[in-house]
Amino acid sequence: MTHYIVPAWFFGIDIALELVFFIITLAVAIASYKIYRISREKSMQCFSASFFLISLSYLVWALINTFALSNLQEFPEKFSLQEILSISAMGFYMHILLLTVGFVTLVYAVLPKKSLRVYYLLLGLGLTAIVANTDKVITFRIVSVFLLSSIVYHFFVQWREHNNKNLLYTFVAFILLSFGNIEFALSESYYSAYVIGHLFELAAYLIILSNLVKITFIQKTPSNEQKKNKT
Amino acid sequence: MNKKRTRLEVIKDILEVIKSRNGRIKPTHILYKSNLSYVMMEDYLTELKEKGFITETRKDKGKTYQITEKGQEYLKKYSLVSEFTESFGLDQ
Repeated sequence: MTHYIVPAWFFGIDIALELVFFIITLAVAIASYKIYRISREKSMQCFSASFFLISLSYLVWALINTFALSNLQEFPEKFSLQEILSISAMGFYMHILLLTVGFVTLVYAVLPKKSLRVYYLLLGLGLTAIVANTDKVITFRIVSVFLLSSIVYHFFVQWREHNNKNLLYTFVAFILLSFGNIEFALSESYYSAYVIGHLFELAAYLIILSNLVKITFIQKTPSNEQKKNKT
Repeated sequence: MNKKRTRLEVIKDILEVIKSRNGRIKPTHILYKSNLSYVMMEDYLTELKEKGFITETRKDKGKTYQITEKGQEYLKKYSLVSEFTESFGLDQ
């Protein structure tokens, strides 16, 4: 299994960013669950579940990076190098599993027709490709880009149809997430790819957060509502 | 030209019609007010019953519908639900 090549100066910063991603995606999961409780829409339920899985994946990633960083500094007091590598690998597999299931659930959430057979197929194919390949990081990132590209296409079509500004931001956010995953896939080839991947993801999640804040917290004035109803 | 209504808008329109004549509205009235085909209206009413937004009462003169608390809550928070759903491309 190949791991990412991380610049030394970025140790710690990556963990902080992963925790930021965890908090933002968890906020989206909670907000969408609240909307699901009101609307009882199946797609909203899947959307909430997908962001919950994505948030868990970032938490796991942050925790294993923290574990590896703290133990490698104290080495060999607590664990042997072999134990640190094994625990980190297990944690990383968990991160891969959660993120893949999260992205598959997100693809399923935006599908116009829901069928458990489709979900089963998407999940089965995605996970089989990762498990069967020796270079799990690259395969996992390629599968992620593939899944994200389908979500990007969906948002593009939706934006063209509804011409909604927030939808445009969501579309841009998912393009950035796709670029982030491409960078992570290349992180074996050059040092800064891991950093750039994190920065793309940060930009993407900040856009999603701003969307969430606009929708949830910015109160609409009655005059704005009336204007909207007139158009 | 009128914009095609989204699913959430249709649900809101049906609930508003039922609310305006709470407890006394018949399917034919909903059909007339909600501007849907009979088959589509039946599908929506079944979905709304499953979601717990409305209840159906059968009497000698036929079926009538009532809006529930969940349905009322949906109407109150419709703009938030609609905005959220649209912004994340789930309005299909």
